Amino acid sequence: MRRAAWLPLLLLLALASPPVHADDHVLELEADGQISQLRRADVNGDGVEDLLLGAGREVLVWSGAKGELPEPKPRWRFVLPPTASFVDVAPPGNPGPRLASLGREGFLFVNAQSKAQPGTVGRRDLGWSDRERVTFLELYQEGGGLLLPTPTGFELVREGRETVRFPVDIDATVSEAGPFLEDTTDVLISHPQVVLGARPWAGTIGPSPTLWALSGTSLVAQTGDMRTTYDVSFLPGDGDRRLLDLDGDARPDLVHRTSTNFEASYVFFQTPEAKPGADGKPPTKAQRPGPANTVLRLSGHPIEHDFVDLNADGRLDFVATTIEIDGKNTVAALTSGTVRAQTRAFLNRAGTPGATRWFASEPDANVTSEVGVRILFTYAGQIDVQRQLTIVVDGDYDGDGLLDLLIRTGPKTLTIWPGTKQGGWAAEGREIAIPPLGAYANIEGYAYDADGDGKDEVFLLYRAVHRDGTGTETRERLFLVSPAK
Amino acid sequence: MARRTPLLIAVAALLVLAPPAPAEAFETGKYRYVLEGRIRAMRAADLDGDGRAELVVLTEPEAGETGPERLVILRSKATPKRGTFFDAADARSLALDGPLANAGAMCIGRFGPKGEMRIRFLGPDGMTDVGIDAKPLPRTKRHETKSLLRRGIGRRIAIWDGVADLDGDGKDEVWMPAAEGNGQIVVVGSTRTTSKTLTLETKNIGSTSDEQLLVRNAYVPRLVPTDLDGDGMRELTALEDETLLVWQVTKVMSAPPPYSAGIRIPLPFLAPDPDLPAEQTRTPRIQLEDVDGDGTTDLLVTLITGRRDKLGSLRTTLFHYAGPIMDDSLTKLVKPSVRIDTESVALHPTFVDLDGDGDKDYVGDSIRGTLADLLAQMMGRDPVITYVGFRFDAKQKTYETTPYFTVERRYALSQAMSNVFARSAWIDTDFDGDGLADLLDIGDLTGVEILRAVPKQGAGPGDPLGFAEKLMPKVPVKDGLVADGLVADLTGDGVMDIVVRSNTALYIVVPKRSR
Repeated sequence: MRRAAWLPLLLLLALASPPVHADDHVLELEADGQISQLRRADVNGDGVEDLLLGAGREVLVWSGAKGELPEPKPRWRFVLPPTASFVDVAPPGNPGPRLASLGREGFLFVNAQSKAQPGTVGRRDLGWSDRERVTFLELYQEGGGLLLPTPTGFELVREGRETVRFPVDIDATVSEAGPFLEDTTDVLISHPQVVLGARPWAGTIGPSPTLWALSGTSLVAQTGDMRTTYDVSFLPGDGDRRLLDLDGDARPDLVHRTSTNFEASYVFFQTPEAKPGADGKPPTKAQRPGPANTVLRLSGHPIEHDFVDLNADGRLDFVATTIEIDGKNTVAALTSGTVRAQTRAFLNRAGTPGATRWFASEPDANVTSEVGVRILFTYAGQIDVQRQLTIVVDGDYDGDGLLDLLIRTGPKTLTIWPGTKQGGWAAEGREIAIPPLGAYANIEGYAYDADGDGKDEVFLLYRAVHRDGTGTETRERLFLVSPAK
Repeated sequence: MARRTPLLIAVAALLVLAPPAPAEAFETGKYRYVLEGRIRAMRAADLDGDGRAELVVLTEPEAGETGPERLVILRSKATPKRGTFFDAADARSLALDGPLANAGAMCIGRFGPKGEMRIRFLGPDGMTDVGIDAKPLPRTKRHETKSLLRRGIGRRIAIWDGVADLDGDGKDEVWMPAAEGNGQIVVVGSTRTTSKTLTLETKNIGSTSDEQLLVRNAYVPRLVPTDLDGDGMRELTALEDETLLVWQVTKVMSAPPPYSAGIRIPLPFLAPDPDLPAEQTRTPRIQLEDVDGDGTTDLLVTLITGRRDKLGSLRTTLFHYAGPIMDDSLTKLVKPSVRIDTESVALHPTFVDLDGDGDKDYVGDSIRGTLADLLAQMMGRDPVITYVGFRFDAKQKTYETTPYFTVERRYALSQAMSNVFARSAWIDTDFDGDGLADLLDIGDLTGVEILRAVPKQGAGPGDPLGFAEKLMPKVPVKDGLVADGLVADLTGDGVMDIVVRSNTALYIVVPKRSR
């Protein structure tokens, strides 16, 4: 019954598919352990980004080099101390690359021989340890500072300069345990994201830079020992809040997102210049952001969103992918294991003459693609839809400076829609053959310029299937795909 | 087809149910008490020792309003106030701000110097006890124990159940993860010298995101008070990987702290099966209770198995390991004494005395159904929840394998769709005094009703027990109920009273039955 329905579709696909380019190149990388995270950073200071993968307490590094792809085996293997919880790439030491770790035994440098030595920033003890793995964290800030968490906020430590203390509210929640012995009470303690930006006020009063963060019901900015507060208590308690400079004034603006299964709402607030006090000094009174600059309501179940500069105009554009929860997609999910997703691009118009809103209510580009889903029946008569989506919005595979859209459009096919000068993507995409998904749970994709030629490769991580209840999994596989150039 | 058979049996059972005995009239008093703010949780406890349980309620500001969470204590009197049961003039309230602003959890226990009931707040600033007047009591050295359980601005306080009288002195111990280090578990006794630090600690996972730079997710293991060897002293038992760890905290520990588990019992059924296909589920869930009243704790495992990609494939299997659950070497688990399979997943397996014989019987509740049922739910129809009971056989010292009863009730779609699946029925209280536990149901959350347990007369097909007669017909609640309820003796007459609630009001049902 199902085969008959598929046959015409397969025939149609065979006729419609553009030929796969013979010059696409696929390289398999060799790694062991369960990969938990990825980072692209220049570890050895040669100007080409290296690929770092976190696997338990190890960080595996494939060295990027000008004009050549990496060897299949990782060039460096860092083993982090058992008390380290977070790790960042430190400036190269002598000899070779170094990582910086933060954990219960404080701030340490770890070299490629996995030898650890205390850092030079004094004793800063995180107080606790993640015994299973280390997590990549951006401790080093652009401009040379080292941002370290403290029990009451952060410190920005800079060589030869006074340390900036930045107190913020530490968020904490306790979730009650269930009735079974294996149930746990979950305590979540988090430091907010910090953005280094411009001073809140005009002029040159005070040192630079300014640390910005969302702290409780306020947006706070700390310049040296001067603190400016914006009252954001009007925001609803639910949803996500994020700081991003959207209007190019180097002061982070505020994005608030709420979502349900059926729609997502994004509200964008501009952070205005703080008004100085009567004495002309930086303000001491709480400031208030202006009314929302833009409100975007996107129908469909929100999958992913990102802020990237699609058209190389220096402003962050907004890209969001959603899946409509409607009869069509429900039936398609149950019968064919696929649903239709929409990826929409909204170009940032901040600073454009005549434009008051940053984003138009209608998208500037829209790509519809079919994505795979696995329907699982949960323990209580519900369905659990597991998405098998691979989407990358921050890659430039042809080196024209415009970001292309990459989506996996089949179990062994990626499609790239080249970016256009107007913003958005070309109407027609080009397919690239990849190793089949097979029994893997999903494929994660990342843009990565492995050979430093200004054209990204695609790094693919084939996520192993994690067996429910047993904790075992099959081995993950890694591929570096170089689209024909 | 698969569902028709049990339905037929149920219908047949209804036909042959004994005509209800000339039932004595079951009368109830019904009350409604409105609180300020939004009700978030409630507990019952006899705080003043007068034999009547007080109601301890947590409230929070209504949506769009600001302010702290509040603890409200509603005092029970021998004669309830007309219409509202509780007298608002007697209510005591405490704002959970100021010194309690960071407290992450609260618990209720016998924490007073002579074992008086107190409400205790746990947090990074130490412990604070509160009496029946909702006023913080003076702190002692013992209250300085700081906990990892903390809450940020605008976050909710959790209710903590790590409380029990371990040494039998009539005063409760409390255990919690320490604020410092990796969150080692500290047991705080009734005097400072009895406090102990265990080797058990929270599992910490670090992460980062676009919104949060640095996140610590601390998973605090659950410790359950048990008496595995039946010596009358309670231990604390936890699960670590595939082993039960037992701390005999009341016995003298010669080694320096932190204290290691004195007994370790590997649980072989937790070992992963490397050959298990990926789509296959095998999830054991563990409960520790003395179900047969012999003074030793039994191990009850409800194992979920089946294929997640096939609707209707999941099963729940109960394994009863009768206490003492370990052999003489204290290292090996005994064999299970029974295995009971039921359809779908038992959401809240409970062990309650259904028939008044003192043993705890097994009740499983599950949502079953076909693809058609699933689609109907997606279109907005409430699902059906099936309760199945199995009696404990005192002679066999384990459970009967044929059901004692099977009953289907309506379940709120909102609970299923939000993946919360809170309990909506309780079969653990005999409201009419006939020796059988009746069914208190808030089902689809539009009202509350009680169904009388009625034994079947004579031999014949079907389960021996049914819930046919409405002991208390449905009392509709206009603004809708929240899936939360409790049964406690609020009036001190020895008969259990019922409290259910909406977001803003408590509904109290008081059976009027002379003992």
